[in-house]
Amino acid sequence: MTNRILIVGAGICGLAVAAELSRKMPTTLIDRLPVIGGITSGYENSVAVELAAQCSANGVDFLLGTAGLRWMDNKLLIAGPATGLRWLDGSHLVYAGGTRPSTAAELRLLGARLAGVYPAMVAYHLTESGVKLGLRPVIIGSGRWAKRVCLALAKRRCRATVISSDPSMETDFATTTWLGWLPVGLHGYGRVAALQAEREGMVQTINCDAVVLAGMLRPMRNIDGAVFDNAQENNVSFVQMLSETANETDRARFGRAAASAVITRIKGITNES
Amino acid sequence: MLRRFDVVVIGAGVIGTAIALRLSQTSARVCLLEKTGDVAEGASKGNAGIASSYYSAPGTLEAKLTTASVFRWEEVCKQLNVPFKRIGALMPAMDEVEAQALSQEMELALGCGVRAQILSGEDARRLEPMISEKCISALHLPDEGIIDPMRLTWAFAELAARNGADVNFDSPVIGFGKAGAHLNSVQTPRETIEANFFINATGLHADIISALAGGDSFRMWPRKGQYWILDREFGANLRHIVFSAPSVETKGIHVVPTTRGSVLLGPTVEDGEDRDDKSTTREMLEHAINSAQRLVPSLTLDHVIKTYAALRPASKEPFFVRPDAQIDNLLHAVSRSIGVSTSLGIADYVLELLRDKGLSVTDRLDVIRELPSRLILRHTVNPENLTDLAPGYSQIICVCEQVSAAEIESALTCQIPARSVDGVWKRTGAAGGRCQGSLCLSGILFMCSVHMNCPPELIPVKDDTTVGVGRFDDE
Repeated sequence: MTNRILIVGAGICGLAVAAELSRKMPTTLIDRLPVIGGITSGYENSVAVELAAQCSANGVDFLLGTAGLRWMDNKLLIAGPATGLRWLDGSHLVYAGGTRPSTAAELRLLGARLAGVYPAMVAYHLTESGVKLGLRPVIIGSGRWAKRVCLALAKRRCRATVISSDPSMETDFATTTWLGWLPVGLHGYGRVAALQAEREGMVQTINCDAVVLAGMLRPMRNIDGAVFDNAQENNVSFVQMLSETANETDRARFGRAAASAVITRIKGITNES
Repeated sequence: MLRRFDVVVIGAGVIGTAIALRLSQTSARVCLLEKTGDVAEGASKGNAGIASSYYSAPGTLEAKLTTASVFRWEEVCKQLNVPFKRIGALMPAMDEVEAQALSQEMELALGCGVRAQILSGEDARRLEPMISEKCISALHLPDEGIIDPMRLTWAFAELAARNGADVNFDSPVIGFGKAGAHLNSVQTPRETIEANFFINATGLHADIISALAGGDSFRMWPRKGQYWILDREFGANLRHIVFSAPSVETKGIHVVPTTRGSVLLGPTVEDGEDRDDKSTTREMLEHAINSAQRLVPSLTLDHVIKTYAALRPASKEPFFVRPDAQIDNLLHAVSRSIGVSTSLGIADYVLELLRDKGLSVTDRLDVIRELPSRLILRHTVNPENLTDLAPGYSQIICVCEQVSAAEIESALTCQIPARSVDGVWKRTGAAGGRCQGSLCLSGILFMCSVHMNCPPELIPVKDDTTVGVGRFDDE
């Protein structure tokens, strides 16, 4: 059996884990994007570039533009224009697929499924490419993605309302804020027309024609066999940092620390068998 | 110029498309009219995806048409390339009252000619370890199956179109041309179409179409059902459909594995008036999860993918496939919750009724019976060779649901192509998974933009609403 470690996700966390693990064992680093750095930091980020250089020096095998799809029996199904569809052998899977804001169902938003409701990443991409999502957009959440979308909208001189149940968050980037309000439902016909929010038993309706879901970071989980935390029984380690405020240095440190935990786990597994 | 057909079918839900397909296999010239921009926009969209083996009392038309459909799914779904699995169902009883009800239910199933057996609680749990330990006995229904209802509806329409059926979207019926008790033509905003026969397969809207035609007077109303969808990783552990026993107060909440691997909890039963109200409510969603947990206690909401509400048609006469009593060349084909399960039977039966009425057609010999096999990456156990079929299989657009560019491209270029983001989802499952489009929606929009030759802001999300409201002025 191979002793190769497969790492999915070449953002800061994945790069840091790879830089550390590759000192001890053969390592493959996979990312669905064709570049390192991930969505949050990007390929020009200096921490990412530095970590990638260390990875290269340690002989990490980079498979960029390649998606990991399924993990079973110590094999990972990968797909990419360059690699095609094939199974990679690995003794361990480190999943560092980053985070994403919660979906409507995860936020327990009630009401109809309407047009004009966008995941933050999509809202950001569309705004950057000149698409006007709405005249009165409301952004749910007050963290990194809320800020990013707000600033993209501000560049287009579009004002955004931010709603967040956390009253302590800094939202100086927003035009109007509803802090301490919990978004509970969406209303409209075909397209979203209003967001309903609650605070201490009070209900308010915020008129809007676009809603951006940018709240409550969740770990991305999209490889079959590596979705639930109990996938750890199948030689999977998750390295994902849910903090909204962690910068690149924090995440690199987190990744390096996680790498030593992975090494301890792998040693434990090897000793047992 | 007036267009003329033998039969006009109104409504592109699972029943209308099944009828159009059956007629397209005969020498009849058939036209399908749909008011929205896609197939499966009504009850067929929110369908639970069960291919039932029985539904109502033996001898009824509903039972007869279910029976006429139930053993054909393997063959039909293979021809149509639609996911189907005959996984069987269990109906556990948690107390003596429920246990009593099971024998009645068993009689019903046996009377309809399908297999049914009462198992001890222990045997039931051996078959399906996920069901509650409180289960004292259970009815096992091995002929129940699961099916992808939206792909089925699309496939019916796609094959009908390939056999020459004239499929028209954005074509609401706004009137009929009549002579006494006979319809000569049907009007849409675009044109007047002449035909010898008219089929009303408009589900929830059947009363409106009947009234427009001057046909039978009846009332339809929406019965709302709310659902939860749970992750595939949870679904992987559930092997059977789990029905609640009919005597329970919480009747109707089932736990249903889907062909996409996820698990559906629902539906609730809420009669209403508003035919557009598809909103979910906290109270009913909680009711659904509590009832489902009674059957499968390990259900958690840790990995919820989606909640939604759907409307199914309800009326005093819950299932009617029959000629109109007033108009001599109008037929109604309306089913309550069981449209998918009866669709094959209904299609054959409608052809029979039309022949009785004087439609003189023969089965064509040159008919196309199969759709070209388009393999679904997610369902392929060893997909290494898929790239030989199309290189686009290795370009993954939706990672959560494992949907490749090849599959999205074929959804956008087939005979009945997706014309919206929702249409792509119906045909492929893309953006319907764990992250609900967070990672893939931009990619899907890009592909739509290229194939529809349309800027991203103008691409429809659903039937009549676009992605954006315009463009920012270039500065």
